[in-house]
Amino acid sequence: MTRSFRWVVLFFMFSTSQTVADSPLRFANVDVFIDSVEPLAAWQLEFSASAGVMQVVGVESGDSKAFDGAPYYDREAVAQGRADHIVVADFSLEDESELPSGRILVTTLHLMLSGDDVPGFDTRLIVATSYQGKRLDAEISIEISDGREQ
Amino acid sequence: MSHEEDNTDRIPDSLIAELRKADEPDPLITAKVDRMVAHLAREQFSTRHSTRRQIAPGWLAVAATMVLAVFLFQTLDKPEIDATKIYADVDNSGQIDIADVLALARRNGQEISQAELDAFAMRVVSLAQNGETP
Repeated sequence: MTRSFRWVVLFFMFSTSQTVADSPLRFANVDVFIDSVEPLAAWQLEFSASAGVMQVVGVESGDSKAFDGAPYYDREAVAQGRADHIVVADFSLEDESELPSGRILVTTLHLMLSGDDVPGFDTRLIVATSYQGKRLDAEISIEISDGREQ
Repeated sequence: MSHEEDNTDRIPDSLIAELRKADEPDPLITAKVDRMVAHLAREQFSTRHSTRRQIAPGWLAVAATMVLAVFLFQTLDKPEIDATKIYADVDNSGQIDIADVLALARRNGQEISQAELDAFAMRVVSLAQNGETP
């Protein structure tokens, strides 16, 4: 190994370790709501980061009895730590009277954030349908409930 | 007749004999007797052990057959779910999404299992295949 190459390697190692040290990990919980006038039977959304570096580390169900089980999402991608965005969906076969309407907490996403940038998120409602399968004109919104440094 | 004699007369002879027997010291088990009992016990239990060994292969064969039968039944009864067969734009919306899974689940006259619906839904949310039309 030549002397100059050794310096290049040392410089690379130093700069890499500085980047890791200066990039604290933070965790945040994001509650995702769908606002629908009509009863909601199925929903699908996409969540991604518009700024900062994000990784989805967990997905929880919402608070509706009609969607009480864990929603569908790419569990393998989350488990393998490559979920820099996520698609979450669920459907319910309950009777129409049992389906929720209004502002519904459909899922809570657990995120791991890194980097210096202030995180920004994009949430897109792919589809929301009624009991009869009609596409609903629903609104989607999020609430970031936590964000601790580690 | 004294008072004591009077009492003795009232106790039956059999009871007196039993009480005398109870007062006698316990029979002494000699080392020879002990060895003999131990030898007999060993013989007895070794016989039982060998009997069990003779029976065991038969039970093992039965158990193995049952395990194999259960395995074959489960394998043949539950073929691997292929979501590609049902992965389609069921509601003709122009995209494949969770609404198609719901439409399929509600469709009458077609037997779709929960496992098939789950496989369809998992494919819908897969980060590798999301939104793609097959």
